[in-house]
Amino acid sequence: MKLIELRNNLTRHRIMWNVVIALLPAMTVSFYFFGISAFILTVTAIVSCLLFEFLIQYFFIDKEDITIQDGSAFITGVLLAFNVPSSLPIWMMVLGSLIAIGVGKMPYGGIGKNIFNPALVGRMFLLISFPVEMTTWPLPLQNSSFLTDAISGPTTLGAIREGMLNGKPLSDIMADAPSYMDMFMGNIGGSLGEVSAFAILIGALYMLYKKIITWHIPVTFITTVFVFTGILWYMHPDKYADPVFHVLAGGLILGATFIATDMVTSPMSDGGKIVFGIGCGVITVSIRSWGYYPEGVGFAILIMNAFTPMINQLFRSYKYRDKTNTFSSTIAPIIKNRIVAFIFIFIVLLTILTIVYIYTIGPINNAHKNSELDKIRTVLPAFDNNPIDSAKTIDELVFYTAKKGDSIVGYACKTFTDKGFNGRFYLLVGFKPDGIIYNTIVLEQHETPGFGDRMASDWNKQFNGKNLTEFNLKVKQDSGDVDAISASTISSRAYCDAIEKAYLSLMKNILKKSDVKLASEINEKFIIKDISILKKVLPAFDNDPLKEVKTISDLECFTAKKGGKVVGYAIKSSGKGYCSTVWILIGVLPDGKINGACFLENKETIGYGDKVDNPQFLGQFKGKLFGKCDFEVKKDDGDIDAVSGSTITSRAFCEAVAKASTMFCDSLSTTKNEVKKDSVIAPPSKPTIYQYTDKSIFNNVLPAFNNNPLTEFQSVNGLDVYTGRMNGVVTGYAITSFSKKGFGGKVIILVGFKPDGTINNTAFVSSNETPNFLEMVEEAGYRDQYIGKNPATFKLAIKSEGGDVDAVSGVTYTSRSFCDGVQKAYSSFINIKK
Amino acid sequence: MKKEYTKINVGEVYLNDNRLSANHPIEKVALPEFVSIPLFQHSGNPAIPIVEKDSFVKTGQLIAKADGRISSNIHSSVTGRIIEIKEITEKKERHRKEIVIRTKDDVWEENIDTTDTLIKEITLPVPEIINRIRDNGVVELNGTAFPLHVKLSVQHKQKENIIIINSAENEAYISSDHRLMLEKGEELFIGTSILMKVYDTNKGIIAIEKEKKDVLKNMLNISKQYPNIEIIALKKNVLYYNRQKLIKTLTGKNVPDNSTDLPAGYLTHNIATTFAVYEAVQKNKPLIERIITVSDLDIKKGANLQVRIGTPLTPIFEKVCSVDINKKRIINGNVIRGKEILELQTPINKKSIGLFTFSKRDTLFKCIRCSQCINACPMGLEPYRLAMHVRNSDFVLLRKEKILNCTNCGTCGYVCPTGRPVLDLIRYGRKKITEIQNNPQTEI
Repeated sequence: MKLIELRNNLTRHRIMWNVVIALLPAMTVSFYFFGISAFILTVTAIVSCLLFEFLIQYFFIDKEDITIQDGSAFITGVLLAFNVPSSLPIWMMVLGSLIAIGVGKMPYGGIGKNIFNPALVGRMFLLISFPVEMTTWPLPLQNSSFLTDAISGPTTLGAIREGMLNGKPLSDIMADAPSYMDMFMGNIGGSLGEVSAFAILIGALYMLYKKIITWHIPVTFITTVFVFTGILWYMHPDKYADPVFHVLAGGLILGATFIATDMVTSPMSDGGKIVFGIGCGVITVSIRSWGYYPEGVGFAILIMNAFTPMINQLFRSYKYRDKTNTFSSTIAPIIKNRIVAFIFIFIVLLTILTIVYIYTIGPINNAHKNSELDKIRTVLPAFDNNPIDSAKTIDELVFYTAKKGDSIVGYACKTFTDKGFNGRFYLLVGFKPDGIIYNTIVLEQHETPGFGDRMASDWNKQFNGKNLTEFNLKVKQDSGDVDAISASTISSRAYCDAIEKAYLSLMKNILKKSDVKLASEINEKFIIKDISILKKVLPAFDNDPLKEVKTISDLECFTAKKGGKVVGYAIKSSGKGYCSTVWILIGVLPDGKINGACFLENKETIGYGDKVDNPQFLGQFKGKLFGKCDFEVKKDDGDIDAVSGSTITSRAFCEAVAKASTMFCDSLSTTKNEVKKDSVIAPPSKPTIYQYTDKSIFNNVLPAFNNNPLTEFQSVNGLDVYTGRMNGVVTGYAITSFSKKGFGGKVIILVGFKPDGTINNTAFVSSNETPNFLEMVEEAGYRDQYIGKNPATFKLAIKSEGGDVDAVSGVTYTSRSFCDGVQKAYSSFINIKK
Repeated sequence: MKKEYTKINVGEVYLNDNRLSANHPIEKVALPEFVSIPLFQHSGNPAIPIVEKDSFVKTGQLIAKADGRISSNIHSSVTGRIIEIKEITEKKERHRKEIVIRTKDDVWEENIDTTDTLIKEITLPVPEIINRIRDNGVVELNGTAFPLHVKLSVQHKQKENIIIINSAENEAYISSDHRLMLEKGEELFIGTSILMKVYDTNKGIIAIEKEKKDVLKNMLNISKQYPNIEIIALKKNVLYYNRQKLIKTLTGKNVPDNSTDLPAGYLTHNIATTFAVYEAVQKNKPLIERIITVSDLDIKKGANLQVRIGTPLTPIFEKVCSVDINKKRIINGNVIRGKEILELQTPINKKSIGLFTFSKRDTLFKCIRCSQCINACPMGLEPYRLAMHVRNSDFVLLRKEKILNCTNCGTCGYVCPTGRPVLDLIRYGRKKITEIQNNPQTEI
């Protein structure tokens, strides 16, 4: 007998199954991008949720009252699966479903009575219990990612958080972030459901059409995030990402349209929904910008869920269809009541907070002071003054001098590091007057629980008595001498970083010894320890190449022989990567053909840098000839396909290969028919780098001239040189130079030299740099510092790399590339036949 | 997806015509074994019985007299012996009585014309007509059953009165009027003429929906003989149970008030009443039978039945489907907001219009907080909250939430996606509250 429900068409079945239909585009996209594991995870979640709901209802509630067919458990399963990475182990998915249904839904009384969204409860449980597995996001389009070792990395938000922790300027990080189109369509790392904004939006529009959700929550939620991040970005573009990025990143669109709009846990009135949306938006942005988690949508929704009953109570329905009810008699009092209630609560809370603050801030400060003195005592030998009185703050580090009588017994430095796993933590390092470490303790840290205990045990004793010019202050994984704490490598590294900061500052500012070199810097080279890596890149050999090592032009070269005959060379080279030096090993046959290439050390950003370490990328080097091939990424007019999203790491690899190639051609090559990249058969008679249409640009760059420099062209060292003359006498040379180290690729510049070698002026000719940043360089007057300088005495490198050029803050790449171009121009200038 | 209903204003849901039974001719239901005639089947005071237990009555015999001005006579609908005069003591304030007769036969009283012949001439003067209507216990045949003679004897102030017979059904699935117009069309015209004579007017309108083409054709045919009565066809999908709207559409005039007929000069009645008037005046037949539509919505079957008043439900439903009261709900009147009948022994009375039955659901599904009911409520209440309080027996809170403002429109229950019987819960709450008000010691 069919059950007729004498109602209109929007039955609860139709609601639920329409939501499922709306989720189908996102499901399809997730299966496409993440493969079979996405499918298995989703199915597991759905089946587990249904199963647990059935079991709990059957055994604990009422055998008759089983409601799994209403579809809500199904949807919980799908949404839960959408919130996890595709590499999550299946048993965790089952556990998450159990918590979602068994803790987030059933104890409140089943559907309709729960306060919090069950899918989010399950997700938060998983996030807190298994943070590693829940924050390792396989990148899309690597089908079957948990059957093999997947390349994974943080989400875009996580990458930004990590990049900023490493000190990278935001502009650099953002430039390497996926494009908006990638984020919109879904070709980024992330959890199953959050990657494709497009697919989710289709589903959301369907639900709006079917009148299952209203526009109030999604629109206000997303708009609030947009406006709030817009304001922050406008005020500090260097600290906050732009609002479009924020809207597309993370689970915002998924959360705002599918999760926050859940009928049971969101307010019922339209006004209440708007308040809910605004609250979610504000909390999301706050967590994203200033909290420890890179993603705030889940927590924001859960917090606002808690307020829903209160919002429902405050936004009661007051429409009457009676003419006698006027605004002032019915509605105005209600609004007045609400406003008064809010203001009253606000004032009460503020008062309580103020009172608490006033009464406790004094004692807290005192406690800090006392304990600080005690702590200084532990890191230094006995002293009898009060070092806190003579505290000196230099560059954010605080130095305390401890004396006994009149002689200094040591220096305590309150130092910090931002490279901790959860942000900044503070150390107190005690140095003896000669710079040797006496003791170290932790002052304040937010690392993973237990780290503080582990640090305080005997672990930090290994630093005591060490002289940092001999003791390599890097963890053993980075070929240093420090034993890292197991499972806390990042925290250990950060610890060393803090000590390093303190030591360098101590040496420079207090002990005034400015040319101290850390052991860790000297020993930065990567040491190959076992032979198997050589076997990867070389053909079959029977000697021990590690014993036949030569160092040519600062690169180590291992010779491989078979039966006494040389069969190949393994060259260890390096290139400057995104945040570290990339070391590679390249195997080359005696005739110059590359046999293989692999990474030796890749400490680039997880998810971006290690994307490059794949057979596709490495394989394209095989078979290429040293000297004949252009080892640059395609963006820079080379032949190598960079890995999308990891341009800089790919470039570093190519730089290393190019270095090896140059070394090989110069020293090792036995055949004479290689052609050097930069030499040409005959000098070209036409400009090769840039064709000028008029000579006005020369007016700025050259000293006064009255000829047409475009007619006096020569090519020197591959660069275009134009001569400027006044009445026949040479007044200057304008050289079109280029550099491939630009942020967007090739940067073409024009440098004007006076005949004595000093630079007259410079100009940008063409580039692919980001327009904003180019403007910044120009506005900062960057090029003015070149005027009048002679490169023979003016070191053409940026200051952070040992030269004399002041780079523009935040526009390092462009500054560097310009400098590189000027350098090239100068070396051309020297070779001009005068 | 075809929309099954139209919302007129917030809070008024009108189910579109979806007749299961429009093509079924009127059938007579066999006389039941016994009938149970309630004495309170009209507005006003219940009638007072004038027969005693074990006495023998004939069909059409007066068995209860009107009590007071606003009351109506009640006649026996079968021939047989009175078994008992039952007292139904649910409500403590009024004793409600029912007369139970065991059927033996069907012998009509002498002065009743039981033939089918059409009597066209209206011979009686107006006071006689009203007397006949009163004596035969004719009431306005809608849910309220107001005694018709009272209505008719009020002095009219306007000169130009127009009678409007409204056939636009306000209850979905009910097709008894439709069949009446098809089968007894001319009787309706005569009834209209009677009413016109009573009201001393010569203009009458019968309003019929355009889509009922067969009815229109039939009535237009007959109307050629009755020049004073105009047939006006109403456009489809316009909802004419609202009197003001009906009058505005038919005559273009705005009628200010929705409640009383008299000051306006427009007098409306419905088809069933008109037919009862014909029978009472021309044939001196008391109101002892009704034509009701019975439908089973599960199997989508319906029938139009001519039923004697007092018939219990079981034999009626047997014509359409089997009814197991435990599994099915029976509703009388409007499908959304009609009253539910809890016992199969409940008899048909003058207030019955149509019966529906559909399957019950065993479990009460939970509210999913979708806020459809809040959007639907015309009185600005929050039905989900009221239902929740009723479930928790929190009656003090209910009064604060102004549950007494509820107008019983039934839209909240209709739009609820999980099918919660919100209106029923609210009705229960109201009942309990009034009980508590009257008797503070009522057990909750």
